[in-house]
Amino acid sequence: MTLVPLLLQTKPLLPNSAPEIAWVALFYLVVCAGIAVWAVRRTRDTRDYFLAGRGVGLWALAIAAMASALSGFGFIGGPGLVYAIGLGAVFIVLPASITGSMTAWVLAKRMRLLGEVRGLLTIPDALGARYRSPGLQGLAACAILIAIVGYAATNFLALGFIVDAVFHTGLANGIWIGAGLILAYTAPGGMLAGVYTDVFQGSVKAIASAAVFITALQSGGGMRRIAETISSNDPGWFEPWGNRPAVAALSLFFVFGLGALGQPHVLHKFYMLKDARRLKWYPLLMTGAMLLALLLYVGVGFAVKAAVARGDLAALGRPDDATPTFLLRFASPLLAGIVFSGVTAAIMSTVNSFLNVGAAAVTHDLPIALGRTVTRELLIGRLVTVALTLAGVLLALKSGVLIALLGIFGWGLFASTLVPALALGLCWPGATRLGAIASVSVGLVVTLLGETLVWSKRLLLPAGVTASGLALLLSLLTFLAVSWLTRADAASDLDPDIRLIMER
Amino acid sequence: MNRDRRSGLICLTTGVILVGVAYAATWAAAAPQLAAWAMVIGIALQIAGITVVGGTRSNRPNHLVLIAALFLGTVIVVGFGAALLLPPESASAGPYLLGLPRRAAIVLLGVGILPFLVLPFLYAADFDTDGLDEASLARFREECRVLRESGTEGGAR
Repeated sequence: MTLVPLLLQTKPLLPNSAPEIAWVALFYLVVCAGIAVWAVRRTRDTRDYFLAGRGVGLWALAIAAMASALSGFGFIGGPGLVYAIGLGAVFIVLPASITGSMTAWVLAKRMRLLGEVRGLLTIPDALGARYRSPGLQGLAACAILIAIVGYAATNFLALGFIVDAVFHTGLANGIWIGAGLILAYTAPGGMLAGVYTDVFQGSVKAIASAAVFITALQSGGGMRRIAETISSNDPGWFEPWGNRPAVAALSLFFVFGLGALGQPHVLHKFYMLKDARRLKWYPLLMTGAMLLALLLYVGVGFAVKAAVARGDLAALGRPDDATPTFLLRFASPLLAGIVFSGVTAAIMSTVNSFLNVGAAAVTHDLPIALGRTVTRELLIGRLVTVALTLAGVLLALKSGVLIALLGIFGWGLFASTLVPALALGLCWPGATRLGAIASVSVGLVVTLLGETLVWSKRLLLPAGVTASGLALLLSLLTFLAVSWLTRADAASDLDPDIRLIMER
Repeated sequence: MNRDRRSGLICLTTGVILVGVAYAATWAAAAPQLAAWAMVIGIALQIAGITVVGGTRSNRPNHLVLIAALFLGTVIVVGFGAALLLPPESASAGPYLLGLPRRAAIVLLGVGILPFLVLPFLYAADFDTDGLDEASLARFREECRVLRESGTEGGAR
């Protein structure tokens, strides 16, 4: 089986009938536009464009990392999944209390120092530097690019649904408007605009989520009442694994826990931190912000399930209706407007980071892999951002099987291609270039092949085994085994300055 | 190789193999309880192992990272293990813990929240800010440049 399609918002939302929601959403977009204009005027070179000028503070870094890590799924698909399968769905976000600290220990300081010493711009850059391999840098850039185009397309589609639901524009117009809004600040302002809009968007997410959580608890008469109501109506729902086998829930924890170490749109923000000493409190701020923003994920799923069990709500036609239904039934129009803005924020901040990472892969990493030099990198970067947006929009407009198939590659590809080679490779001097190339290749092939076979129903996986999980597992095994077999090359695959950074 | 780093790698590798065992058992539709336990212990070993590998610097032992890894491994094994071992709750009689059925509470609060109250502070205590100010970083950049130029002549990059 594959659980990744559940991460995608590919169905229309319930339409909004309250004008307040549209006004709040409009206000949100105006603030975003203001921040973008401010940032665009400060974007002068590729360092500004791809790395926000390496001048980002700790709060901005932590909130922007949270904002780009948490897509619209956390607000729409996630609560729907909780409603549908119970506590098992929480295992997607359960590792959030661990991943911030784990990522900091494994990657934060090393990435920041790598950026400092080598002037790196991208995640594939780090792989190229670590293993002295432009070829590996190109391979990783290809994997990232495949993942990003599909992922961005699904997010454009989701944004189209939201714009349509709030402003009644029709889906196609909603996609174009949503993509246009993101492009308006991403293409000219790059990551400088992206980070500071992310800070605003992340704050909106966290505030909206906390407010909805309180409303959700109140609507159900407190957590104990909610739990009793659900348990008497559907005893399996509040089992620790929900209505699924234990291995299925645990498998999610494995993929989303370890996979967090391979998300380029989050990790490359470490390059941007102005003062490396501030990393000390990164896990506290990032994890705190993330947990706050995830309250809605759990709260709405619980509250809607309890409301349906009590008979206050009719059973949902589709799980994805959980959040819109809850907002229209239990929240004030103002809060509903803030949450819809939060969903929009979640999508925009994720897509913005994707586009930036994708543009860097095309303008920076692939030319290095091919031994070419790109002049006027800033201009080309902007043009590639436009091209990637157009590719994503066209895929989103096509909708259907193609987009969902491309979308499901995203998360799994990041995890299986980057976790072993990047996360483990940057702290294990014994890792080798061949191990990294083999691991990225296995991750790429197994994810693409596995997800395609599962999607086309030519491969039936049992509950608990996912194509993404298999790809991550095989990629890790390959990395460890090939590095061990070629361990004689380890020392020559590692520049002395990189070794020094690994030991700091 | 540093002893802590080697131990971390062994934990990680064992964890990866155990997750593989869990997947194989699930695929073969055999011993679901064994698969679940293999997955729990495998995940705990992986996460503890990679934290040790990542948190180990130079050749000195790092007690705070070892404590963090031990804490992580324990939280995961105890939290998920309790969910596997404890008897089911009843809707009316519970037992309930902080408003949640006991096993759900152990998973949600024990694994989902507790690490947040501990790990960031261990990380902050472990974080060495020495050598990260502007002047030290400039010296470090220069040191790295010299090292690179002396060590990579004729290299691939």
